Amino acid sequence: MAMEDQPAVARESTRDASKAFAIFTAVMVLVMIFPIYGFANKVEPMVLGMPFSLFWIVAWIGVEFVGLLCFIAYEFSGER
Amino acid sequence: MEKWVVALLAMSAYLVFAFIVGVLAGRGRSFWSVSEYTVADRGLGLVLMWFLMGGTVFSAFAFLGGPGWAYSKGAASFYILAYTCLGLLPWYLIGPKVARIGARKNFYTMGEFLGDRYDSRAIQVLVGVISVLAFIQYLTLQIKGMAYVFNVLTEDAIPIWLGALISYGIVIVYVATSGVRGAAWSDVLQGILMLLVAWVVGYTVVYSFHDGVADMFRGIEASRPGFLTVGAEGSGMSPMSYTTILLVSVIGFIMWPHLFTKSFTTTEKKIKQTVLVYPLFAIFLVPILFIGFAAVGVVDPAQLTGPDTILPHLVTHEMGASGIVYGLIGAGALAAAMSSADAITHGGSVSFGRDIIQPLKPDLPERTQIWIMRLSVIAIGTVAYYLSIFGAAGLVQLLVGAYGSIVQFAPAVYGALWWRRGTSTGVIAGLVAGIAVNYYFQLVQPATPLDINAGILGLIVNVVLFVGMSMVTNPAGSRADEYIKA
Repeated sequence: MAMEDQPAVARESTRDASKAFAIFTAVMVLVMIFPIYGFANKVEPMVLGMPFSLFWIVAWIGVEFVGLLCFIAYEFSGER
Repeated sequence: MEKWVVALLAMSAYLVFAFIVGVLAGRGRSFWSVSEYTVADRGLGLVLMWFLMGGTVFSAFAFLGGPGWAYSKGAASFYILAYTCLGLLPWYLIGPKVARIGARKNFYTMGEFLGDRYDSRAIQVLVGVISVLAFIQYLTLQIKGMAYVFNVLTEDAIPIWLGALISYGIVIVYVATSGVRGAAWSDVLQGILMLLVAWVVGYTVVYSFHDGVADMFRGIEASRPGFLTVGAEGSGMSPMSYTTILLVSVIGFIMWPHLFTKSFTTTEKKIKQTVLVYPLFAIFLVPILFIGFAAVGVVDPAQLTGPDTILPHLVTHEMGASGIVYGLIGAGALAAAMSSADAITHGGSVSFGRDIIQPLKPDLPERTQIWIMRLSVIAIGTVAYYLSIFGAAGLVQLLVGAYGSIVQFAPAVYGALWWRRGTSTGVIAGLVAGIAVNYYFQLVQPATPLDINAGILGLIVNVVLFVGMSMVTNPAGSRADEYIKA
């Protein structure tokens, strides 16, 4: 059964950005935890009705989404 | 018509629909194939993957525990957004490797993966046993959520035991008949319904008590200074506690065997595209937290049996809501709990069949294996049902407690993929010690040193022992290269 699944074994990506992605992940985690989160951990200025401590997280989620788009576009766009 | 009757009708309609979708999902597929039941022949499409993985986030914990945390602990609840958006990032790196190895070696479970890499049947069984126990703990939480929602929104017409029996019974039937595909298809329905309900209810609640989101937060800041920041006076959590619970959740997320094994259901590109939608799922959780914040200063905590009941309490006691809203919330909360329960029940049956029974009796025919898995759906379901109706513990503590043990798989998994020198002795020593430390600090000690999460303390001991014991023992065989280069 495993042998019939050969296409799944092959790499689909044409370029490998694993190291950069590991750094991206580390940055995303660091901005969400202390001590760095400590800089955003305040109520003012309120943005979009949210306290800054919440807006900070929402904004970084936006950054994360765009970052992921870039990684996937890069890894799957090259010549095979 | 009485409001609770409308709610009951809406929830029943939803349950019938979920049942049909779940059972139909398996039609036309081979009923007797282990590969189909466990990993859908490694061919799940993108939309199914999104909702199958998303269903796990939209659990009873998010829908009832999320507003509960926001209401009782304030900014500490932001941790739910943070771990949702971060939890799947490691999968982008490990998922494709695990998928390639699994397809080549025909794996269906995390136990098979680790057992083969470290050449140890003991590791496979150990992983299987821990997984099944953690699954049962996690399941009781979902079942309690379903039963509670049923009970409150029908104003006690449906007792706790019956609500749990009906809703979870349906999950058991479609998982046993349709396997992972049943879980995936019903998760699409449940995911869409829950997203819709989250936004409608979130904004309805905010605007019925406040003049918008900004007004609500200004009011909280004025009456409860520090409530909207982490670690200050008046906040529900210290910075260290917040940081380490987030780390445990992020490291532990993809170590949940029912999520880890989804690597085996698809291919590299779809795994990466699934990671992509998780930030969007996190954004969808924002209004769920708003529900809890909206209740601050409106509801007196003394009126609640626990913070997790804040959403149903708001709807039934404070809003004068219509029967339609009752029904929407009921169906949404059921959807949240069921979409987690199905994946976990399925994962439990696969772990039990492949990691516990199979190593003990390796030459079972495929039909017997399938029967064992399908029957263990019912067995695991029965145990979880019994515990959730007759056992007792707070929703959130239960999940965090189970999480603490699951995160202990992380050193063995990362070691399997990136570290040549890991040995079975190292894995077992680390795993056992890590779990012991976690339980010691969770159950025996009233507090942990420096307010560090018990799971992180376990992980530190785990890593030290894994590396230390591996260095002084010889790796058996040389499978390391195959895993590291995959």
